[in-house]
Amino acid sequence: MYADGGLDAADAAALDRHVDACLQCQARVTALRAEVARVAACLALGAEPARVPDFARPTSRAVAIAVGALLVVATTLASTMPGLLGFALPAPLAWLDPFDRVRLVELAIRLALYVALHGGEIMMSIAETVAMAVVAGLVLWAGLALRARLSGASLLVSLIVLVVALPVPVNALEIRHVKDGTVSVPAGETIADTLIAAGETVEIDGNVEGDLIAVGRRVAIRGHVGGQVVTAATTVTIDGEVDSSVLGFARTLEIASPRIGRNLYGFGETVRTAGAANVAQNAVVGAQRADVGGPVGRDVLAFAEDVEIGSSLGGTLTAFAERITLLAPARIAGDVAAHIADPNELTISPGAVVAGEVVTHAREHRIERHAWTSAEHWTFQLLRFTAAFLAGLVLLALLPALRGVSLDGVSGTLVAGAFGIVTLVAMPIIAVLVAVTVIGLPLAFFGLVLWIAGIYFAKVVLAHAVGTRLLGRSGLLSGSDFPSGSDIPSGSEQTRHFAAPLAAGLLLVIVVVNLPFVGGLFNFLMTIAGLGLLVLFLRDRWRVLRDR
Amino acid sequence: MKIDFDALYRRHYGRVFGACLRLLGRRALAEDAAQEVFVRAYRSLDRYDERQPFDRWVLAIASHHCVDLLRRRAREPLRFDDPETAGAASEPPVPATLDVLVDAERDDELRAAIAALPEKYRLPLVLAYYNEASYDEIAATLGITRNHVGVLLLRAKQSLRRALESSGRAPHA
Repeated sequence: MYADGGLDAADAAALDRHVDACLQCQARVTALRAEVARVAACLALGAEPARVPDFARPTSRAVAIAVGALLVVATTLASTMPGLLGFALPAPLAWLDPFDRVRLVELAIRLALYVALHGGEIMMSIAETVAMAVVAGLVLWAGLALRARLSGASLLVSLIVLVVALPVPVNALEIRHVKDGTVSVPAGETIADTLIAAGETVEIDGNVEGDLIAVGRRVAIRGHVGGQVVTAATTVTIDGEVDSSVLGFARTLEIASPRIGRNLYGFGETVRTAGAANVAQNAVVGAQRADVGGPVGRDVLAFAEDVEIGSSLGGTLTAFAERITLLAPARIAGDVAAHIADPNELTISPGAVVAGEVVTHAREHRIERHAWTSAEHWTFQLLRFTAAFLAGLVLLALLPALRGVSLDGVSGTLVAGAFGIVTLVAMPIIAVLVAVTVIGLPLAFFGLVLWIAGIYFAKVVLAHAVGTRLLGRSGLLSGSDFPSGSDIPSGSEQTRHFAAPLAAGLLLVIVVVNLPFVGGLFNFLMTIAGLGLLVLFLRDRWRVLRDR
Repeated sequence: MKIDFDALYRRHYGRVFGACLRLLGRRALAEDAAQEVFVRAYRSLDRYDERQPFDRWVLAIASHHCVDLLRRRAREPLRFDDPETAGAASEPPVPATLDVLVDAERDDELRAAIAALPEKYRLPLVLAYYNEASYDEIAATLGITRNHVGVLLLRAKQSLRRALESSGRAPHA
């Protein structure tokens, strides 16, 4: 400490007096200082930046205030004039209205269902048909991004943030909660707001003009609901009119409502719509026993052990079930797609009419056809691995900072998953909005290419993060860019660091997606987690470079 | 007097980048960190005392930022062993001679040995001999006492001597 000048003045002065008189100590202090000088000189050498990048001046307060004001104005407009965009858009394009909460919820549910059902096929199709286009697009993007210091990515991320940050207009809220008692809206009472009702029993006989969220042991809705109904209870009966959609989770969900203005999403042990029930649009039912006794304006999608249809359907019936029965007077205007283990378990009674085709998909055969034993399957997996590995090498070489992306435990992975699913759903919506309403097709196309690239590279990034963790834990990973002789690490040194974890992670990913039964689910989960990691990575980069 | 920040940035970027690289160990991280350091410096220019050298000030920001990054990235909290108990008895003896490091022909070996130091030794070493931070500044940055800084620097240098001597080609060993 003395030789370093680290002692305080009094101690240093005392030692000074001794050193002045002691030749041995003088020599030692000199040697220690020479040693420090050598270390300092060595630290000063090598590994300076290849170039000085332009300085990104942070946003001035005035710009920040202007952006904030713009957001406030946009939010106010969106809140006070919920119909503004709706009126401005012609009816066929009404679904593009980003402020229509009901449509957004429906779109999200439909998209989630679609992805859950067809996710595997989508991924496969993407992998097979657009890999090359994606790589080309990514190279172009990376070139542009590096040139413009990620301004393209920043723009897209900020668009996502803008749309997500804009709050949808909500009604005022009324909350009624009676623990172990009955919450009731008696006949004749009108609640002009959204109502959240929680109690042992919830009974709605009056009129709720907004949405109704009801949670309890027994929920009975006999009155009128002007918005959506979201309910979870042991028993739910809906006999009153609902102007919008119903989303219900219950052991027994009984619908006798003369009118559900939009869609029915019912999940539980038994989901039953009585003959008097009328669903204006679609019905999605997941239950042990699903009975559709009342008319449905459009399609029915059912996941159940037993599916029984005894009414008219304006569209198609798609059912994944053990037994499917069409009872008279069922009239199905579209096709019937029966995903069923035994074709004999599809019963169409003589009085039932199917205007379209009846197609039976035998589920067990599909599993048998999944040829883990076939050479083609594994050749394809090998190609898939190689393509992903090469694409990953290019990506990680172009964007070295991506190598730093890591999985931060369970909560970090969940956060990444949440970001991933939002991106998965929001990006195409934003792209369509951009294409139709804001800037134009090229940007929307660019956004979609980025989205598809993101989906493709999601698992690559995830694989690298997982691989890094695995190899890091087992101590197999070493090496750094720390100066050690040459100013700039050579290419082979750079690839050596991330190729091994990438390969290990991809191997694991390929194995997991090929697992029987759960492979598809893991494929989807890993894709959204990887996509989330990419989005979080871009967000972090954007934070650093936001003003470039 | 108006400060020409762009000129300061161009003049000192290399040194700040060097500090970040030596503290973080990775070029990509160091590039991001150096940018962030200058953004922070720009934002707090009103707190900069012009009587103080700019490089000392911006290097102090770099030290804090990089140590923060390392703390956040670490799977386990960054630990600097208790100065009283640190230093395992099982370690080989430190060479008595001090000139084992003072050999200009062994630059590469010395740099490799510095890069291989554990973080608890590398950080104070870089802060002291590259960033030229005082013991008090290092102590504040790492959240330890001044004496502890002295112990860590001593251990860092002992490790370097040991590493160079054990490489077997030390003419002075």
